[in-house]
Amino acid sequence: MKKGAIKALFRRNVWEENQVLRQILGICSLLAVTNLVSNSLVMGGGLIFSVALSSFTISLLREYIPHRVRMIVQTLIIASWVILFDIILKAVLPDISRALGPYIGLIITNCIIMGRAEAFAQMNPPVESFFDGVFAGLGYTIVLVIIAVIREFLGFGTFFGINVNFVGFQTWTIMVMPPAAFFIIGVMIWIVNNIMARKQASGGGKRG
Amino acid sequence: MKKDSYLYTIIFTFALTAVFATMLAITQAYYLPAITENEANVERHAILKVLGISPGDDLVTTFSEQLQPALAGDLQIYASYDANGDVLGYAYPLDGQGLWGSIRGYIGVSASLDRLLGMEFIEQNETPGLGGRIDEDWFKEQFAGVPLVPGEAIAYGDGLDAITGATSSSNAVLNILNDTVSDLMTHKEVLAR
Repeated sequence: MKKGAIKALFRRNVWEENQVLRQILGICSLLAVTNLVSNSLVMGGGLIFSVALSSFTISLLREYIPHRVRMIVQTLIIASWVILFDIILKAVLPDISRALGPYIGLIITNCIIMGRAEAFAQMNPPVESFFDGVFAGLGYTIVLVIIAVIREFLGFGTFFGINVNFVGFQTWTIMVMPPAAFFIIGVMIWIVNNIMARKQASGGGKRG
Repeated sequence: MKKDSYLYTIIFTFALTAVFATMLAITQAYYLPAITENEANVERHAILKVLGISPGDDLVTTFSEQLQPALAGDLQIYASYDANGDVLGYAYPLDGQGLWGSIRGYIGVSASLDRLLGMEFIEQNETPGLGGRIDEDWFKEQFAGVPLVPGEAIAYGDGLDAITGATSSSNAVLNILNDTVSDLMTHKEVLAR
């Protein structure tokens, strides 16, 4: 696998076709966990682990999976990796496991994993699929953390649980609740769409 | 065998399921002792905390040295003792329905059952950042020292604050607490000597 290919996958998955900002996938979990930076990081880590290994496995088996049951097979593979992650987290990092509770199991339903399996892994080689998964998860994690920093600051006046509310402003309860993520993600999508549109108008769409 | 034949599909699906189920079963079996131990430690930690005992360097040793298990009806409770062997307090399990799911934990009560020593949760599924704040220390600590008056339910106000924006979870905790306390009082003859 060429170095340029990895770079291209990185660019595409983290920026140009960011799963959250460009494809509007994975919004459900984004609404749920982004009120704390620490939870967002673990959620992102869990997703990177699950999507990378699922894509890798699905790509390995892509020649053997019967077409008519491919979605159910993909779900089986995804669920297995997520449950594995959940078990390890419970055994090794019990505190974080307790803090995230049911959210880890819900990674199974994250549309990004199925999306990468359908759009990439089932027609590309395993190593490429693995990196595609890592970068798709990374793109998701970056967006999660950006939103979490905003929400945690305005909602709790903290960063990573450390008080940074030096001026003593009144924290916004709405920022703690899921709707806040809707407002922030809306603004972010608007900004990114504008940048993309401007680029296309001036650069003539270098990348098709 | 053709890839889209029924037989292939069935064999493939069964084989793959068997492989992944085995992988998960092995992992689960391997980590089960650690997971069970982690859960037991969370419970031990909560029990020590409601009785105001510091877990010290070794949680398990402190737990077995400082506490005696006892039975209240068919409920497992724990008693702590002072240097003379007199009971200092009891840790009594707390269990009930929160806003979103069950809330489980322990309350500590004094030996004469006339005041709360503390409250801790082992399991709660309230909204993180809102109802989930019932698990924050400032909230739980205000229950330490609350007097238990027979026939009088504990209520918010007068030094006991509910959580802003999480009225339902706050009330759920209070209801569970009052239920637990009245349940506890049915064992009064056995416990308070």
